[in-house]
Amino acid sequence: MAALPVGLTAACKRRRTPATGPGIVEQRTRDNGRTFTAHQWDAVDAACSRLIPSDDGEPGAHEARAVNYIDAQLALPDFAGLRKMFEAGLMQMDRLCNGRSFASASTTEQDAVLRRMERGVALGRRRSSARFFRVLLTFSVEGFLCDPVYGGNHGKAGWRFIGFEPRPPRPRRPYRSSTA
Amino acid sequence: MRQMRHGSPVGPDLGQKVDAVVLGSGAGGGPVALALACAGYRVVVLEKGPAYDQRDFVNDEVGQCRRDFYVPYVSDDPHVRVDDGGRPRRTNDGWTACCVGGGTVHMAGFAFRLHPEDLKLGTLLGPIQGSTLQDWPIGWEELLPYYERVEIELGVSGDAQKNPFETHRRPLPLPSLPVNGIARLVEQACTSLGLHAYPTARMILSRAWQGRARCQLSHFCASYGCEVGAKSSVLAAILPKAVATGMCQIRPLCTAHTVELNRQGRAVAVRYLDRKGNDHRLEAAVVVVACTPVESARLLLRSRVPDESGQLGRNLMYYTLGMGAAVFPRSDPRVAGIDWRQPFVNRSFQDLYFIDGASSARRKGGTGTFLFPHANPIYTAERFATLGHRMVWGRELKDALRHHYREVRELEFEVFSETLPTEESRVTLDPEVKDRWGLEVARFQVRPHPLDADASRQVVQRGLDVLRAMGGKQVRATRVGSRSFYVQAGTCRFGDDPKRSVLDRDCRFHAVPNLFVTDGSFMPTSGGSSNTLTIQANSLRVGDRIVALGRAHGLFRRKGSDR
Repeated sequence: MAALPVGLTAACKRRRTPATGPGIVEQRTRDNGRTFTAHQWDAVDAACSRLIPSDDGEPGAHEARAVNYIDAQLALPDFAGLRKMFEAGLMQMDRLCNGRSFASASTTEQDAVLRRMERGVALGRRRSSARFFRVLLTFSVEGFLCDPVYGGNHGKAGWRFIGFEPRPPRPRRPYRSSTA
Repeated sequence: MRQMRHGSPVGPDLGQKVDAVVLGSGAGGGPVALALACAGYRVVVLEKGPAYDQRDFVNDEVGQCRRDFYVPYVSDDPHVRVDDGGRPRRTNDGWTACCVGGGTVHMAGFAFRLHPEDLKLGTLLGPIQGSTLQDWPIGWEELLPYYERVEIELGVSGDAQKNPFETHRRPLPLPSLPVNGIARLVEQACTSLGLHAYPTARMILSRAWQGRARCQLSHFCASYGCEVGAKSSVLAAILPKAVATGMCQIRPLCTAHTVELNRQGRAVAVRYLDRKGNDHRLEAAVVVVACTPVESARLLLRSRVPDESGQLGRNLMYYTLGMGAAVFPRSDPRVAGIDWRQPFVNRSFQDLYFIDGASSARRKGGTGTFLFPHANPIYTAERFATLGHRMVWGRELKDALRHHYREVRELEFEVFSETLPTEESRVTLDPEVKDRWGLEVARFQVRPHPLDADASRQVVQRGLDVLRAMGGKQVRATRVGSRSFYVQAGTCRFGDDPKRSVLDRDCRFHAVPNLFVTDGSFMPTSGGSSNTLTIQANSLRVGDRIVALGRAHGLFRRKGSDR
């Protein structure tokens, strides 16, 4: 007869979270993204850098490698529905840069483009960029402050910025939905 | 591997013919299963969600708070909510938690009792136009012993005798949890305003209890399962005892979809899908439904259970939530010496549980509880970035985070206030939308009574007064009269009149002698605090009633059964 485990066994066997290991999201670069092309990788990285900038010598979403987190999340079946929206949204950002790529635009120009995306421009027939912008901002915040096993918050950059001390037990690998 | 563990039945294999089947393993299902198993009946608990254990409860905000660990994705298992403009929208509002132990696993663990007056609101407040307010069919003396029993079974800590508005005959089983130094400032401010702050009762162990460890003060209670089992969830405190009797089996990842009735109008079996979608039939002498008010109504409507009153699915209640907050500069000498690793504030006031207006009639208010904002970092950043009146990003977002984490301490309060029942707040079956198994989903709408927001506003105002008296800065109401669907009540209210109620005083269908409902559905009024403890106390009570009815009327006697 199995019993529901009660007691302290789980708490006593706490282990340190390893930096690498099975299931941990590895750090990739623009040239081997899981879902993003090199061009898309640069655009998302540039956008994250404006949403949570590196300022006053303190790290932002770029140092936390939020783009790696977003790339890995979009590869999950959970978010298959968002991939098309990202494609369309990133294309629209380039278009608003008058033909230049978003990543190569000046930061002033990038901010202006992001503000227009936030207010809402049409993405195809049914979508508005406002929803895309909101998802991008939410993902950037997650990528900045998630547990590093998810491939963001690299070197605990986000946690160090806010002075957050993670409490054990920490995850040994990212959560995977059992239904997706 | 991992999924095998989450999907494996727990307890002895009892086959497909049992004495009782309980649908749902949370606050409503756990205690009744325990009572029946202890009385020697063979009980199977069917749970739609997985069986997590303490090893699964890690401090992973993304995985445990922002994905489908507890609440399903809209794409898998939607509800349809009809908004105030009449438009139906897919949503995951109305789910509490799909896992063994239900919402008690990730709750913050507030253990409020109702007050004796709550059972007589129809009489006390008189008829209120637009509300279907009515008294409970049972009296306080029938409920009180079960509060006392369930508080011992669970392990509830606190000092409710300090609350002049509540009547405890004896102390709670466990003393209050240690509190943060700011609790003293809350008490002083309340006293100066004539309010009575008292140590909130919690389903959290302040000392070791019944083989379980005490709280480790980890700061992560709400939204998380407890990794040491110190939170008195049904998973940690109730189900292990039921399984230990050898008379109870829990089957996770089993979705009940139909209660089968025979021609004589008795429930004879429950049909359910396993994790692979295979259909099974489980025969039982007694069927107990405890899937939360929204989901229980869905199952009972699908099963076409006879209901003379036409009230099945109606009078859905939820929690009318108010919130306020203030900040204290870290340099403020009154807060500078406080040890901020201490997570609990644990002070509530119930001075406005009833509101006596100078010119208006007596009305129901609610409970104010002081606490710290949730410590989750992503949620905290999101509060500034996307959850305010406008999006905040760039330098402005980082400055907001610097301010929050480096310059101030923030204190909040929550107000749970009465939701008056209305007939048009109801659950039906959606005519189009299906879940991932192809079953009709629940469609619900809420039509709040105008007095709800007014009561919320009055209690929030008093909370803000306290924060001001404490010398807080940026004192502000962040929510007034908003709706929270984690805590639900109504849809199968109980009563003595079969024309006005769905269940009788034993929470049994008026027309089906062996079908019971033990989640929050039975409640004719919602109370002015969260109802988790009340659901559990009533679930134990109904368990005892089923045993008594079984003895008196042969409820468990079936053809070919030796009982």
